[in-house]
Amino acid sequence: MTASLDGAVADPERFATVFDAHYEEIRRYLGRRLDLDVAEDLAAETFLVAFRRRHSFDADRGGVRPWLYGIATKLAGRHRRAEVRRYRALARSGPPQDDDGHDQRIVERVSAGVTVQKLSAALAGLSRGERDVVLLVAYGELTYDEVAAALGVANGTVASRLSRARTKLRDSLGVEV
Amino acid sequence: MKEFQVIDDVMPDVPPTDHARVLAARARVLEGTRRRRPAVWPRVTLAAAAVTGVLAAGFVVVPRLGGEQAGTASPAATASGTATAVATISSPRDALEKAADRLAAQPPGTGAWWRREAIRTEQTRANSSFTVENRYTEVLWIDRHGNQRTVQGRVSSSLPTAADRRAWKRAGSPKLCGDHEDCRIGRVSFFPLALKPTMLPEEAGALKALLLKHRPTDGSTDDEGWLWNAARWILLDTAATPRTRAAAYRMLADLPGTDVVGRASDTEGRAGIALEHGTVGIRQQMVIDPGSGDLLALQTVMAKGGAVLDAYAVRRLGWTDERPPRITD
Repeated sequence: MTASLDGAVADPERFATVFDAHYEEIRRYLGRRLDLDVAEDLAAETFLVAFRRRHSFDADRGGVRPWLYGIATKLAGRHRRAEVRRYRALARSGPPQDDDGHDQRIVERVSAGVTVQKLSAALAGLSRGERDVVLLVAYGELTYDEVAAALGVANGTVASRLSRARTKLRDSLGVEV
Repeated sequence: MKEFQVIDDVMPDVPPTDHARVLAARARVLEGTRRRRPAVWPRVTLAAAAVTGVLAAGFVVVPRLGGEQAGTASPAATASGTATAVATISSPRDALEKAADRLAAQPPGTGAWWRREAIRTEQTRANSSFTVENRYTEVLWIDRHGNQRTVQGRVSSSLPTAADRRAWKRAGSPKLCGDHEDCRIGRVSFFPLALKPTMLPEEAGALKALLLKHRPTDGSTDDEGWLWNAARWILLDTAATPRTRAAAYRMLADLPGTDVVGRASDTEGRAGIALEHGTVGIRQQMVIDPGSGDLLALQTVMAKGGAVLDAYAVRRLGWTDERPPRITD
């Protein structure tokens, strides 16, 4: 019996523990890129896809988190036009009034000139590949290696996309990110 | 500061998830995994095979529990009787230590069969407009040679709240799982393959070391998640000695991500102290009777509001002179 068959990924009973441990962060990641209804649907879909593909889960390419983030990112990719529309809407009107995510840090950022409007416009200006790597780092807190594993691309590709994205964001926002 | 922190800081965050939505997503995912269960049948152990055998023979000995109110289970009296003592002990951690001491001091017990009888409760929201709660009794028997048999009682389904009942009526009052004779809720047991229950140490450090030695290397679980799963298996699915069970409590209590909670209650309305582990929103909870150290329940709960997603509430556990029902062909 191989080790992977003994793991939570391969076992329906224990797969619930994978869901319980990671659902919230995957939902949050998707919910910050897409409308919440779509995001919640895709978050559940992420775990269904993960379970379906459990036999192709390769621990040598990273742990469960990057694997799930990779699936979520691919699913979000089908909605990339909606994502960009959302950024453009935020760029015009700013965050919704009932958004209670405004804590002190945000106030400080806004005073440094980085607003939701500006940042949304900047994100809309990134290519899909650039946005994926930036948001996996920003929201998922994945390392470069994990981003590479999540997206199934080479480490060099991750580094070059991040570099290009950083330049574009700096030019749009007027500050280093 | 991490890279691109500004994006995390400035961009709008998502509102916290609520119980109904998590339940709907969880039900959808777990239903999806169960539909594909045949793919893993080769791994299904004796226990699950016995369930099939018993049910195929129509040999269901456990009465339906639908509508039973909390507190009917026999350990309830002892648990609630001691629950008031919890608050007077200096800290939850002390209470847990004392409970573990009391459990470790219990005799191992005599008899030919180990019996673990639990009420399994599972909330599901497969239809997105209302929540259904399914309950059934599951009795696990283990003999002195380690042979196992599981008897699953008939499932009873209910609608937990008035809002669920209204939504169910609006949906045309569809039949629920428990309304069908053949309603079954699958459970494929988790058994660490290389571990034998008879090998389990009775000291927390040694137990932890042994379990970690058997941790899967596929990256599917971190140390703490693995130890929680293994402890769950030890406490619910093996005939481990009281000393090993107490060691499992202590092992978990010492983990950095585990909280010891002074008061928690289970689906049968029994209160105890609890070990907790998990994410901000979804918590694994192990409820322990502070008076005896006995395991009351293992359950998954929402941190906010305390709604129970699934649970095993233990009614009886230990060696007995009684025997499991005979399987008739």
